[in-house]
Amino acid sequence: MALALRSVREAARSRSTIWLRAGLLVLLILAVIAGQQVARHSSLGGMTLFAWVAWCDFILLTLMSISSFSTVLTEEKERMTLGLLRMAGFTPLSLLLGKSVGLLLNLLLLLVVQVPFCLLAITLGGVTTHQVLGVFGLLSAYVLFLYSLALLCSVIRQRNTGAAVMTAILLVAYHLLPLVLGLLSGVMRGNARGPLHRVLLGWVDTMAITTLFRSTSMRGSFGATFGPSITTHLTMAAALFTLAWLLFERCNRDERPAAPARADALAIFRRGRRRSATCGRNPFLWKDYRFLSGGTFGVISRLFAYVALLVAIRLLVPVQNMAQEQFGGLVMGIGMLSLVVELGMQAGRVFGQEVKERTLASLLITPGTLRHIAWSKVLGSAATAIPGLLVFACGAALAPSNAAKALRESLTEPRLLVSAITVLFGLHLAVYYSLRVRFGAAALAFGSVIVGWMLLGVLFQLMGHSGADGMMILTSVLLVAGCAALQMLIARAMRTAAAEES
Amino acid sequence: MTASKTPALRIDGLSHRFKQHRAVDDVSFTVAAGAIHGFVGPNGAGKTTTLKVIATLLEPQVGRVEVFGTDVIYGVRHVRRSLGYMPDHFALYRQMTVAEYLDFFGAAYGLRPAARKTTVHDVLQLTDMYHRRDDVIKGLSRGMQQRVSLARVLVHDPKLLLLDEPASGLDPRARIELMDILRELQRLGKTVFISSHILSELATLCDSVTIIDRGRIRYSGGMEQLLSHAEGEDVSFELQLAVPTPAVGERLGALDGVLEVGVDADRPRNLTLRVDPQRIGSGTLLNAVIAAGGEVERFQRSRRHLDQAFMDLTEPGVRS
Repeated sequence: MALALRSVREAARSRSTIWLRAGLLVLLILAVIAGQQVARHSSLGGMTLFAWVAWCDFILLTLMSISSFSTVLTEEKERMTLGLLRMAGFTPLSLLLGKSVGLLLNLLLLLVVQVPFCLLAITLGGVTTHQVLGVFGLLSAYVLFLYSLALLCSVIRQRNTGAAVMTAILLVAYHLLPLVLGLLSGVMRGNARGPLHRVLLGWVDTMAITTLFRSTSMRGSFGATFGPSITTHLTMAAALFTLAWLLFERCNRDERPAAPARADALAIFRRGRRRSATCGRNPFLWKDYRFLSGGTFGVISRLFAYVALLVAIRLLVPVQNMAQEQFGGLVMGIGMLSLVVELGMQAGRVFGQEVKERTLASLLITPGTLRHIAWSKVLGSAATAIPGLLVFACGAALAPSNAAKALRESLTEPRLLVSAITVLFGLHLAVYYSLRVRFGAAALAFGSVIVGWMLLGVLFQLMGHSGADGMMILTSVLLVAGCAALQMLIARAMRTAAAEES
Repeated sequence: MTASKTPALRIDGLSHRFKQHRAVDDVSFTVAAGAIHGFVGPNGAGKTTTLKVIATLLEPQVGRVEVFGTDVIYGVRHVRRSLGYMPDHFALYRQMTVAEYLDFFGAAYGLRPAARKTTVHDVLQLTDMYHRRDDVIKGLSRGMQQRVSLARVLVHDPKLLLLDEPASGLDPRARIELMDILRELQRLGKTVFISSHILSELATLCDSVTIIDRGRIRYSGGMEQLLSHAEGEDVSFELQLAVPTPAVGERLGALDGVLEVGVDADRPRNLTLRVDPQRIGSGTLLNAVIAAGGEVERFQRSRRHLDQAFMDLTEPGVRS
């Protein structure tokens, strides 16, 4: 247990833990004040506070598990120190627990300290003790599930990025797949509830997100709502942890030096002989387009994947159940979602790899200006969004009236404008974090934006401007100013990172 | 001042601190154009900070740094074009092939495609990496990666090369080959500024040397003067005979100018001589050995004094 004890000690003493606790405290105090404000003119003040805390926890725990738990073992693999730990006599179980238990206890502790604050919600009205304790029990079980899932990915994958991406994909699949399949089976059968549909909906019913939504949006005792959900998550956590333990030896027999992968699918046709590429007019853009976005091959293969997905949906869903306009809207939605997700992921990697591989200094002492280098890299990385953009364009062509409506609303509706600026701000934040943190820049940026939004919501509620257009304008101005400030911070962080390379 | 007399590097009163830690303190020295200059100091002495200031990665907080007469603050673009900086890690894009990596940096320095092709070919030939041009860098050995890194700093034909501990972690063969490449580069007219924490490693390579410790310069000047500085008035020689010959020791001990003759008790074939170079030369010593019937296997000036010089000039203990 030596490793586990060290991990607990390190987690308790780390500066990030102190900042996390301080941030949480500020958020809780704001939530209590907002709840108190609501309680003055409504009987649901407690519910406001409680829902706010519960959802904040849910999002942050999800993001933290992707960025922290999934890299517990891959971090050692990248440093090539896992073999040394094995030689020191640590068993797979002691390594799995020892490397992660400190962080896990830390997160559980963060949940526990919130319980007394949330019990205040009962006095503000709209929430019962059973509801508060049930939600925190559910969140704890959800943390254990996330922990085991991320640990499994960390065991299977060799690099931090691979493990984080795998965790994110599995988590998205866990949250969305049953829902999507349930909806599709309903659509396919003309809303007739077949056995598959019933099983899927039963599954959806026990999911953390569903239970959480139900218990934070309505009043009541909720009876046995939490029990099945908590049991399901604990069972899944135990199963995933056991799987991670069993796969440990098989997946980590050989220690391989971690280096960025080279996408060269055509090498097989050249019988191993490789022909070096020549870079284009803008070398910085070329490099990131080819090696970060996957180049033309990467763009085309992703485009084919999207097309295959859309064809599958079209084939699975009978035409009478989904008109062309509806299908076009779905295609536009998928295109937009992939555009935002892929851009966010790439923004979190723009400088991350340079910092990790310690190549930023060599780049910055070339005669190009810092601005030119940074923007070229960003544009090269942004090429990853081309498939999403093309899918969106196809959707617009299939549903021209939907597209025209979306365009009209984006020009007239302030909420859409604010959303677009928020995405832009989030991308800036991800680029900045890619220079400051070792991994999880995109997740951290997403979490920061969500928390920022919630914080703004609370502040505006306190100021009595909730829902007003003034709030939208002020938020837009703040976000645009934030983008400008982040550009300056990115330039400064680039210089600092290059000078600190050693 | 004519171009040939302009020093490749002039540092005047450079100081740099990180919060409370003074990394470099009032450093001043000059490197002549076309020289190989060693920059030696223990770990944490301030070598890398000085190199980063010269490479324009850090701005000097106090003092002035000039590369071929151009200030590193005001002429940053010009300075960047005239120097090639190789950090103590190799800073490679390991997913690229060797040729792609060099082509990328050639383009980043503004070389046109045709010129890049020729230059990449030339630097690959110079570093003996032409046959590995299409290999992915992550598959290369450490010695080869180091050559690729050196090729990268040469790709835009800089006049001054800044090499931060380039031989660290290399096997003896790779070190010797690296030294040969650096001599070849000097022959091609480059000025080489090379940092190391091992003085004796640079003894046979460098024309001049600067020793830095705890951020301050302890010595800067020619290598020969450093040897004199280290030895004071004495010079030491190591002599190895084919068979133990006691008469050789007696004969040498009787010579005017020989201050001490030491015989290794375990290996009586090995002798150590301490002499006054003003009174006796190496030729007289060798003649005396032969006259006493000794068969010489090895006779060389002792290198131990370089390590001694380093120890004398630097302070004990590791600086964080």
